[in-house]
This record gives sequence, structure tokens and C-alpha cells, in this order.
Amino acid sequence: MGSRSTRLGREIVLRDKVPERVFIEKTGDREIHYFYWRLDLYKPFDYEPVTLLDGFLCSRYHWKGLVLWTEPVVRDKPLMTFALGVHTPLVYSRKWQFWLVYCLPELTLSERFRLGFYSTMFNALLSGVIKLPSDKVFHGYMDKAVEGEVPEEYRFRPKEWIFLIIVGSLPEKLPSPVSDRLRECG
Amino acid sequence: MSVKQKSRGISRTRSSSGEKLSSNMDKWREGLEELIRLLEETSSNRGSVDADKLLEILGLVGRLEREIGTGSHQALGSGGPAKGSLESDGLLLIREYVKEAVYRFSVSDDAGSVLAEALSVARALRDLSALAERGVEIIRPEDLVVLGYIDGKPVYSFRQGNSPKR
Repeated sequence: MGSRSTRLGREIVLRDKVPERVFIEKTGDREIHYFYWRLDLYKPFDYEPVTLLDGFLCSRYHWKGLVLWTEPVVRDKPLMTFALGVHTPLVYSRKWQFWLVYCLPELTLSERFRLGFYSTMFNALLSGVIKLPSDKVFHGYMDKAVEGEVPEEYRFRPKEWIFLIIVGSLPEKLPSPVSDRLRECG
Repeated sequence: MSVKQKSRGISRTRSSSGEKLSSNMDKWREGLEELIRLLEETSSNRGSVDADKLLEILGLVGRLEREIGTGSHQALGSGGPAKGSLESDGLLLIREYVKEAVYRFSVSDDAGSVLAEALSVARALRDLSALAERGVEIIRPEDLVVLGYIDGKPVYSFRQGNSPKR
């Protein structure tokens, strides 16, 4: 597996693929880094956020899913790629165990399908049928970074998920924003 | 990992109608490829969505749905998707997106964005088909089972036996 080739700054992860920009949004003492592409498949704009919640690396899946990566492969920083043709963040993990917690059990058809697709992909990773490439070179991204807010509809709200996915071992304690949200669930 | 072909039922190798099985699987894949091609053409044709093309897409989705609905894939143990599978959810989702596109087209609104969503679902179906071919069990949310609790809430995962701890 390749290592970084650029000097690291405030990167949360190292990435292999190159986004057009990375928007850095500061919310209190937390930074959210949005990997931005002007085109995602055939639809315009894609903002894929990552952040740290109480030390856990988090990303978003299909708008309403919060993904916690509890066992990332780390080379200075966790290594991340963008997969599935639509820039879905996928963090290289030491374990591909997959856990799902619902906040609202009634998922829309779209959410059900996307969740099934995502689960199947982890099932394939867990079983070893598919493997992430091991020869990638990972880089920092501060050369692409700009500070600023992203459009409202793309903002990452760690307290507004309806399903939580944990990849890796189950943590003994969830990050506090995640616990807060879980308490609100019926 | 012992991969089960849950919604696919019968091992491809033990059927005596191998040619038919292959033919049905090919039919599903070919149908998907045709759907993707039509959606790509329509999605990339911004601002000038063709009504005939939308109807053609709906017709093709209907054909694929009927094939699943009749259970022909499942009955033959072809490895093709079955009624009630994640793939059938995907087709239904595409149908909904294309219906929305037809409506938007009829009121001169932007149909491209929903067609792009339909395309991404169709591509996901193609990826699922490739995974199924390699023996991966296709997982629906309702296939997950409660394996523990965190903060008092149930935590779902793959059934034991299908997911070795690695």
C-alpha cells in the first residue's frame, strides 16, 4: 500500500483519488472536510463529508446514513478511497465487520435499496470476495482545500441520521453526538 | 465464509438445464445493460429529454419486472433475481424515478436529475449482479438480524455463519 507523498496539514484522512476541491467547514471546535466534485455520475455537485466525532472517523452514506469507521488502516492518517462510481467514501479497514442501528425503522424505498446495496458490498468485503486495491498511493489534500460553507442541502449534520452504520468492532462508547441522537429514537 | 444463494435458491452447477440457466442470467444482464444504455443516453441529453425514450425505458423496466414477477429466474435457479429481492426493489425504484421524470417532462421541469438517480440505481443493480455471480449473498435490510445492543438499542448485522470475523 502506498504512502503519502505530500506534506500533511490538517488532513483527517489520506485519499487516493483527487477531488476537485475540499471545503473545510468549522463548527465549534470540529472541522468537517467535504470532498467536492462538480459532477457525480450525471448529476451535478457532490459533497462527501468526513469528520471526527470524539476521535471516531465519520462519513455520510446516502444523505441520511452516518458511518463510523472504528478500525481504519492508518498510515499517518486513515486511508480513504471513493467507491461505487458515485464517490462514496470507503475507509480502508482492518476489519470489515458491519453493524447497523436504525433510528427510524421505516425506511423509504430508496433508503432500503441503498442500504441493501451498501450491506452487500460489506458482505463481499468481509467474505474476501472483493478486496480494496493494495497498490494505491495516498496523498494529503490541503492543496485542494478552501475554507467555507457548503450549500445548506449538502451540509453534514451528525445528529440528523436515521441509520447508523459502524464498520469495524463495536465501540464500548459511542461519540456523544451519536448517543444524543440515539436517545431521541423511539 | 459460506455464501448462501438465499434468493437464488439452486446452485448453478447442479441444474440439468444449464443452457436455460445461462440464458436467463444472460437475459437479466442484457436487460440491465440495455436499461443503463438508455438511461445514460437520456441523462446525458440535458434539456432535451425524449418522451419516446422515457416510454421505452418504462417498457423495459416493466419487462424486467414481469420476468422477476413470474418467478422465471427463480424457478429455473438461474442465479437471476427473484420477486421480493433487493433487485426487485431496485427496479421498482427506477420505475418511480422514471415516472417522476415523465411528470417533470410533461410540465417542462428538469427531468435529468431524477433520471440520473435512476441511472445510479441501474448501475448498482449491475454491480449487485456481478457480486451475485461471484457468490456474494445479496443482503436486504430485513435479512439483517439483531446481534447485540448499544446504548440500549438493537444492533443489526449479517447472520452468524455468513460473516466470519476477520
